[in-house]
Amino acid sequence: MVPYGAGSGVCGAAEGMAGALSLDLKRMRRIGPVADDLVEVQPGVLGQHLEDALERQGRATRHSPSSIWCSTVGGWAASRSAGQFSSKYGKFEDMVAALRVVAPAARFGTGLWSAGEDLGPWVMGSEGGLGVISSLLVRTVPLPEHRQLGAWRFSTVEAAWDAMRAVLQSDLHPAVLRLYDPVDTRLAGKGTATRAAEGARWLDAFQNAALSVPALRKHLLGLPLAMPRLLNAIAQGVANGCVLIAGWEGPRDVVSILARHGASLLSDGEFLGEGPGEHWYAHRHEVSYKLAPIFERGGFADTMEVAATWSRLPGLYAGIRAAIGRHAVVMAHFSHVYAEGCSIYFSFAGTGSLATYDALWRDALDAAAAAGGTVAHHHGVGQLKRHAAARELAGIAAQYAALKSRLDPRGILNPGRLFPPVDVPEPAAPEVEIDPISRLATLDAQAGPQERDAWLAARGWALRYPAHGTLAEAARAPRRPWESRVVGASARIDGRRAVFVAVPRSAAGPDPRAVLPAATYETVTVPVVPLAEPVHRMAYTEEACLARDVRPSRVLGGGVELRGPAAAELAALMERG
Amino acid sequence: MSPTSFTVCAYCPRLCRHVCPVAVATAREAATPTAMMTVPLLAARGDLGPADALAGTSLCLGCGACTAHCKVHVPVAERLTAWRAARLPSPAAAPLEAIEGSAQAVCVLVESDWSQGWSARIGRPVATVRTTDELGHAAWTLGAEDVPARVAAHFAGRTLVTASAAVEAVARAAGLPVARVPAPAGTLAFVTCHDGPLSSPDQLACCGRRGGFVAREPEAARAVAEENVRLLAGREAVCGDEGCASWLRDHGARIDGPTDTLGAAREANVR
Repeated sequence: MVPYGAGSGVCGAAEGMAGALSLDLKRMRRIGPVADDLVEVQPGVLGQHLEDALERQGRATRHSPSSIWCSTVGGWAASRSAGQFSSKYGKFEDMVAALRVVAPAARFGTGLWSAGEDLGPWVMGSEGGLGVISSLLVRTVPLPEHRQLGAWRFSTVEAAWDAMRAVLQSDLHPAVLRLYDPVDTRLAGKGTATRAAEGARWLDAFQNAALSVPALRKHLLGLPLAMPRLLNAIAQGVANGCVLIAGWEGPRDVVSILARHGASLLSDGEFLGEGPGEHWYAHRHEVSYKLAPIFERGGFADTMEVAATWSRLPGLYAGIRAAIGRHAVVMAHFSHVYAEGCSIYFSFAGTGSLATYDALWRDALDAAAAAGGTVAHHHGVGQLKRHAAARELAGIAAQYAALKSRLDPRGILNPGRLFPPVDVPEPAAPEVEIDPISRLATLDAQAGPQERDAWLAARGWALRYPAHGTLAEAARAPRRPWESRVVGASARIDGRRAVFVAVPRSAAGPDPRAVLPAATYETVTVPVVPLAEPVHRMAYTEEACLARDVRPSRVLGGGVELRGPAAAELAALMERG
Repeated sequence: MSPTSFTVCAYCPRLCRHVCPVAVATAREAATPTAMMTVPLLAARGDLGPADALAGTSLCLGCGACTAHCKVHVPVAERLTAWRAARLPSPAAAPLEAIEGSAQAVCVLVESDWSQGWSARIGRPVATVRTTDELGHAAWTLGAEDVPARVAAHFAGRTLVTASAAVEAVARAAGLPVARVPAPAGTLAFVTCHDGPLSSPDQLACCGRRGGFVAREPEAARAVAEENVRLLAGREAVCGDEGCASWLRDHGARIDGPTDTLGAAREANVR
């Protein structure tokens, strides 16, 4: 039996295996009132309907996936969805304060509704394999008072990555940063407001041109897609830089400061004005669906989202582009940007048999793993990625199986999906090291705090989230939705080492970093900050800052620390009250 | 109409499902505009028989919310209606009622009589006519080709005043001058057709009574009405059409004072 929301998932999680029954949840659609910034909502509520209901109360989740018109709240939680403003607000799993879950052998609450063992991190990402989510308690925020968007053109993706990383690592908290690679910029018309205003997605534009000549209609469409290497080379050759859209939202005074400093860090690019950003915002849910001519002719078009730390991002981008480019025309954009890394969203189209399509996916997923990325950032696992995801999370497969047999002893729920048997050799232990590009440190999880902090200080770094005990103990500490506290980990489970590669906000199943017992940790990869950077210390509480939408870099005993180019102005803002 | 005219929708990931009142109210995958637009393709391939294909498209009440929402400008409701009409025997429109009065302006009354208030407001006498089937709108959309001609002959030389989008559509097709009275503003909650100036609760966009939907799909029509009432959550409501108000009242909606004086409110807006 497969829980079914609105069926928008692109990886096939809701399809079920042969003979499966669908449990359609769309009539579970009650939305409660907002209380203490939380709203209780049933799983079958369509995303847009939730936002409409919240907007009438001056609230929002700000979870804004492209699929918001055709996906449900329950599906968001089950697949660890991410919205377009995840850089500021986190992924949907971060917005969920509690769940009620019905499993064949148990009914239980998670998070704030938990009566003991909190199984929330297992359920979110389990894609219906552990239970049916029957209710959710979701965090809301006030509707943003102000929004500021802009667009910049960079000569290369590498230059743009550096600028994006600088913005995130300078605590400027953009709501959105989206970079279109040169092919996407060229073919999708992201370069100018005028072109963008035409709303011409690249395949649409291509099809319209091809289909406007009846005599050539049959041949024009299929030919270029049948020669992907040639078309990829041509597209790359005629490309002219790449466009980045950046946006901030929140209280007007805070947005003004953050956006101005953000623009300064993006100034290596050519400022294109506000038009492209505003256009993107107005049309952000209009995913391309004029693909019928391709499908009708036996072609395929699809998307793939992966993620990696900043230091591994170039390898991930190059590796997957090459892998997909052997089979299809490919372009990409970079979004869901965090201090430690970002997601890459590949779009591709080609012709050929199902074998070609399967080979493309296999090659692309292998390339993702080889480059040290996660195979899923927000589309989940489903049918397409189940083997690749199982390899990525092999270390928790046994625990998942044990939990599933406790909650679902007859294996009724979405059988055969997550964690199919895979053969993964025992990995080597990760090295204790600092990744200065991604501002991450891989450290001994069981080391004492003094020894650990001294080791970091000797190299010019400090923990972004100070810990008084071991990092293993701190791994489960409460965190804000936008925080990444444990990015990677290695653990010894049942006498065997498991390594969970450092990746930003994976959706390749349940988050192993949130479910491992503290005693099993060997290493953790956590965010760090350079000691040499100037900081502003203030005697405010974190809550006082957050009430103004000012986000402290670090919370210390007796106050908070602001970091980055906007720190002085934000501190002055706080002082003015 | 070729099968390919439906394929854009058939491959769309149901991006208009949230505005379709039938899809929302029934929560059925088969009731999404996308699913209904797939039916003609399946029929063309021989995967669905004629009766099943008609049944599969009959869930569309023709409100046009999907058309209004579609970002690639597919006239979804219109295509479905046309496809159905081509496969149904043309229904007959009801006989047109006699026009009462000789004034040049004729208020077309669907349910309640707001003509006196309108007459007083504009300071001129008005003629009236009652219609039981919105001047044959449903029959016309389902292929009764003589409706505009009959209406044109019946009202020759007159100007129509109507609160109904359906009546307005028929009048325009008949080539008659027509004034659509806008709905009032500043009230608490509204239920109206998608092309009105107001939004329904959660974009439900239609009360569920439109056209011949009640007769064709009574269960789905009732579900749409009940979903409207649920979304109104006890709030007092205003309807853009007395017929809608009556239909929603039957299902428990609180629609009283404002709608009963709707004619006067509209006049105030128009004047």
